[in-house]
Amino acid sequence: MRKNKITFLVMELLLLILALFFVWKIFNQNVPEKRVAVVLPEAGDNRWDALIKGMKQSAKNNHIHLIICNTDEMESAEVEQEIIQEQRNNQIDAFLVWPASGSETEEMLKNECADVPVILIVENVYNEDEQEFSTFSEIGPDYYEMGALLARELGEDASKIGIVAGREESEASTSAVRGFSDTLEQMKGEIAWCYYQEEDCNVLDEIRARAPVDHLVVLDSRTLDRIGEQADNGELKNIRIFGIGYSVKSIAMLDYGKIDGLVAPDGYEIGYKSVEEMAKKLQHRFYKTKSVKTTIKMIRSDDLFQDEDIERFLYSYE
Amino acid sequence: MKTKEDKKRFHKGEFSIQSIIMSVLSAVTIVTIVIMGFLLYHRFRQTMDKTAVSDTEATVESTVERINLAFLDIRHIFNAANYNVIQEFDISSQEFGKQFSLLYEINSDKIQSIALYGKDGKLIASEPVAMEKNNADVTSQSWYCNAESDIENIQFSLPHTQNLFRDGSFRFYRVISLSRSVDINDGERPGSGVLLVDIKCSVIEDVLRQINDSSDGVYYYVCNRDGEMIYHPRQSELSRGLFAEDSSPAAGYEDGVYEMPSGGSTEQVIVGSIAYTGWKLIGVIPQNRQTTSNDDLKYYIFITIIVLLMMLLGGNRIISKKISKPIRALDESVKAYEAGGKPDIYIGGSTEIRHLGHSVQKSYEQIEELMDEIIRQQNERRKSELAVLQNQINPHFLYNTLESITWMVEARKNDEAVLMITELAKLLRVSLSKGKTIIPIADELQHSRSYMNIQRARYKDSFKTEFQIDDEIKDYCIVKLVIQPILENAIYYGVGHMDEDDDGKIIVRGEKKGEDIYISIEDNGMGMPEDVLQNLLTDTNKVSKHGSGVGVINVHSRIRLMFGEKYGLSVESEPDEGTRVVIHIPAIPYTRENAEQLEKQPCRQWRKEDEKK
Amino acid sequence: MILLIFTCSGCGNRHPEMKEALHVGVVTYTQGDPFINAMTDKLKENLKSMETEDMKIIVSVKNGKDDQQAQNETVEEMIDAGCDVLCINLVDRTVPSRIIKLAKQNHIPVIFFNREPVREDLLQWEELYYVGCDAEQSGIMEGEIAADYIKDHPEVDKNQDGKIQYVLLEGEAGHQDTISRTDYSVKTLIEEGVQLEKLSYQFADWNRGQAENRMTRLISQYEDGIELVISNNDEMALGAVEAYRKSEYVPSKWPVIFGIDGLDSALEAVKSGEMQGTVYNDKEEQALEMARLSLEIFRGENVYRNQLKEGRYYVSQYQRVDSSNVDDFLKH
Repeated sequence: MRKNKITFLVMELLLLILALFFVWKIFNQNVPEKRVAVVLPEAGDNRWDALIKGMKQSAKNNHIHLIICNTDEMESAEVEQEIIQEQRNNQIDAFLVWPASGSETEEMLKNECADVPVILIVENVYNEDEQEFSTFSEIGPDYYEMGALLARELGEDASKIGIVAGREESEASTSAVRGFSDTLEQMKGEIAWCYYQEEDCNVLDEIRARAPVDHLVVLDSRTLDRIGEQADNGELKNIRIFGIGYSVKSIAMLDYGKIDGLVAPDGYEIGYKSVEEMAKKLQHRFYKTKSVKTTIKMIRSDDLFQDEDIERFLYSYE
Repeated sequence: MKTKEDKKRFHKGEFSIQSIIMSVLSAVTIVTIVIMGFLLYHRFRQTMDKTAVSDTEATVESTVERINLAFLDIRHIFNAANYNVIQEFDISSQEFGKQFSLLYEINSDKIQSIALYGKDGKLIASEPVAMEKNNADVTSQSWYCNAESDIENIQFSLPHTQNLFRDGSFRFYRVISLSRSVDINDGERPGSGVLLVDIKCSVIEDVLRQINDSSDGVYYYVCNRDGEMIYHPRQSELSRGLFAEDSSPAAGYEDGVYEMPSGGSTEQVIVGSIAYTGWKLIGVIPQNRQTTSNDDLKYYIFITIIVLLMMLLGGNRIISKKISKPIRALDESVKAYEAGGKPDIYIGGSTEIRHLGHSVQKSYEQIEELMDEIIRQQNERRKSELAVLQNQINPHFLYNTLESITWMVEARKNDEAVLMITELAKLLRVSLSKGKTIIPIADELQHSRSYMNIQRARYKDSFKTEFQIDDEIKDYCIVKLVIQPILENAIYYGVGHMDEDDDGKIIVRGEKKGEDIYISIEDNGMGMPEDVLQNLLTDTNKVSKHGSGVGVINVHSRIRLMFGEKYGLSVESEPDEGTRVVIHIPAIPYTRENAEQLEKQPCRQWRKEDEKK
Repeated sequence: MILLIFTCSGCGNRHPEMKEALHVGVVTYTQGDPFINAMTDKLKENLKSMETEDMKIIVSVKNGKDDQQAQNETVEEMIDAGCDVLCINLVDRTVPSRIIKLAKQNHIPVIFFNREPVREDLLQWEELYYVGCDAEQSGIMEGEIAADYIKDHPEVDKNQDGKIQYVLLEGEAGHQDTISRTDYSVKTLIEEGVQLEKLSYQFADWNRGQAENRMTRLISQYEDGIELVISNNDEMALGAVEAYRKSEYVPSKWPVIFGIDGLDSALEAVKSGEMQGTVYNDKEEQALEMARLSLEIFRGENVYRNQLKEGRYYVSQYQRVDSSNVDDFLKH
């Protein structure tokens, strides 16, 4: 009899617990979305439009809440550090970071983000020692390859080439310059000068200050846009301009003939894949994030409306 | 309390009524409810799926309507441009420019641009912007080529980036081109050209974005008959291979609902056709979409099942308790009785249980009675045997006999003395019979003869004794010391006080009739009155004054105790006539086994024989 | 106990003395409007100059892609990421309600600029402000400089019929600024005693290319009969200039062209004589006011806010520009 009663009570208790569990589940339908902060300089600039679009789509697919930090220029690791610190109070589960230029960035990121997953986007941290690999995963285009493509585009025996690169202490600039110059060497070309654009300098003045060239290779997207605007004026009139371009503006300038050749990374892909990787990491704590080299495309003005592949670059920018 | 026995019972498979009822009811309950729950869920799921399908169908229909209307509008604009402007006015006239511009203004929310090209792709007029791109190459663009090759109809292009004008901003516009060959009025010369109306893609995109946003896992896309994408919510992923959509089979279908395999599972696909263009609007309901309402339903059903189960289990328990309680109470009371209590059996519950209770109560009461009876009989037997025992060494008779012997010896009547002593010895021997109760009739008769012989010495010739015994009965069983007390009675109350010439006689007869043996002792003495006769066999208090002390009653009891109620003594008497006592016993041959059996279980054997009859 | 020590040391590493940071979020209505872009650049410059040792200012600029819905989403994103003050240039000035609601819910003051929301909407919450100009005033001033010029230069009336044949380039149909500027410029001219003969009004959507297109057609229609071109803004005025450059007419046969805004390119045109005047929209002053207000809001001070009209409005004054003072403005 006793045994009976005990069995009965135990069964009822189990059922009650089960019922309560399901009630809880109904009220708790929404697993709180993971929050991922995106740190980009001048986040509102249209060069990030495609990137952010890609991120948003992947975030939607993976139920991730994106927070795009309000930023303006990030000149140094210190500025970036403050942004990251601010977000730590905002319940952030992971960071997608464009590493600020300078060699302190790697150390800073290691300290600030010791306990949350971090993936670098667009470019890698700057390291003076080229051989050393960073501990972070990076999803972005291969700048070395982009430099190489541009060099090949210039053709054999190209001479009187001026290079305008971005900040000197950034992986993007150094890799692109290296890629360009290595390939150019093979093609027996000659670089006249190489100038690294720092924040407050007027690039046009700098160009004027240097030896006149026939070709201008601009390895920084914003600088390319600025130069392109002025391409019909003064010294720039007869120079062939090539470069790396992120935005619709770059492509439009190519279309209007203001620039002569363009290597475009697929921003949408960078954004999409970075969030994908981060989603995987957030779902499985022990998943090791991978670095991905995203696609790049050499675009020439006559290609623009012939090559179907270009459509996706144009489309994702809108 | 779990005892070892309970455990054993459990393992052997014996369960209490309550557990049986509970487990059966519970099992039935659980199975029923679970099946019901699943059926319900399945049904709901089906209904919901059907609802999803019909909702999607409705959306597809209404969206197709909207798009059709939008396109109709645009075709009107196109035709207005063609018939009301281009055909009406000369291209060099002011009116032409004005009307052209007006047409654009009115519809600038839908139209990106409207342009008229002459032969060889020369731009005649365009709104809003007239500056052409240097590298446009109009004649190689597909809208131009298609318009030139198919003069009759308006050509609809796929969405593409416009490559015609420069408006000073660094932007690209996505458009759908409508183009057609038209006749132009250029002064006197009839000419021909191509009218191009570029529709903003947002006309389609806004509509589709809206229906895609408001769905629950369902998405919609537009493609042409060949499966080429016109709008897809995940276009960017498609073009990069990050998402796959195989539109070609669906694109070939007519309007309706279809099931298509997709990456392992199936999905429902609803196709609607957009007029005039041959485009298809396709709604896709993926199989495994996680809808919150689906999950909610699952959880609600689970909760309902569980709550029902809880209630029914509780109910089961109550019912089974109620049913089994009376049975248990009955069981308990029986147990209590077995443990040595009084038979106070529980009467209650259903009629059957009540009846059982009653029967059990009665049985127990009967058992009590029978046990009492047995005890009583045993007591009696013991008493009788005690009495017999007494009789075996009855001092009174012994003294008298010894006195007689002494007198005889003193009187030098040695022979008589020897006789008397011999008879006494024989009597005593049978009396003892080595402690046995059952002896052969022969021995009993010997005892009787010995007794009579001894008594004759005392009573001289007051009476005569005759033994008329059938030989065959000599080897049958009898209880010892039954004839002698009767003979004693016959002497003392019958013929003992008669004179010689009264001719007192005691005749002992013995015969076997069938299964019975009758031994009768008859005397022709005084007899006894009616009342004495009646009390003779029943009054136990009377102890014989004279002699053996073992009364007739005792004999009667002993016979009945040994052989059964059927047997015993019967007495007839007539005052002054005589008395006749008959000993009735069953004919049991005297064998060692029979004797032992009778000694052990008096009556039993005989009962068995009774039953056999 | 040990855990406590560890966490404390961990915290210590990660949060050194944090400087105060003011986050200003700026959302324009489109990315292609040079005037707004110039104002935004100025605003950024001003705010950056107000940074101190212990206060950093971060200015984040996004645009609404010509779609109010998109602008609403952008504002939501910015608030989500953390923002102290918003500066919003509405796409559709009749529907600021969503933005106002978001701002109110999150206690983030909003400074609307350049595109003015309806007064009832602005009054919904006391932390809503507007910095801009009065379109009416711009129209009046345009009329005034045109009238002055015409009165001083009788050769404007090319056919000497005592009437000035004019063409008006309008922005957007139904747009508040368009209506104000169109009405007041013409009215002012008439009030100043100029006899006008209307040839044509054309909409060109504030756009240079469209204005050029329209102008070209008007030129072919009216030939050299156009004596005055009034434009609702500089971009369209420059489009008219472009049309005339491409036409067969020499500059001396061109009509007089006036615009509004004071864009650098227009100022250049005024200097070179292709345009005769414009009305300067003092973006520097507005940007400065916005910067000051933002800082003040963040610090909780009230100096500038107390000077606002009805506690909300800052209306900057337009300024007349013609060839005589154009250099002053070019220096900006």
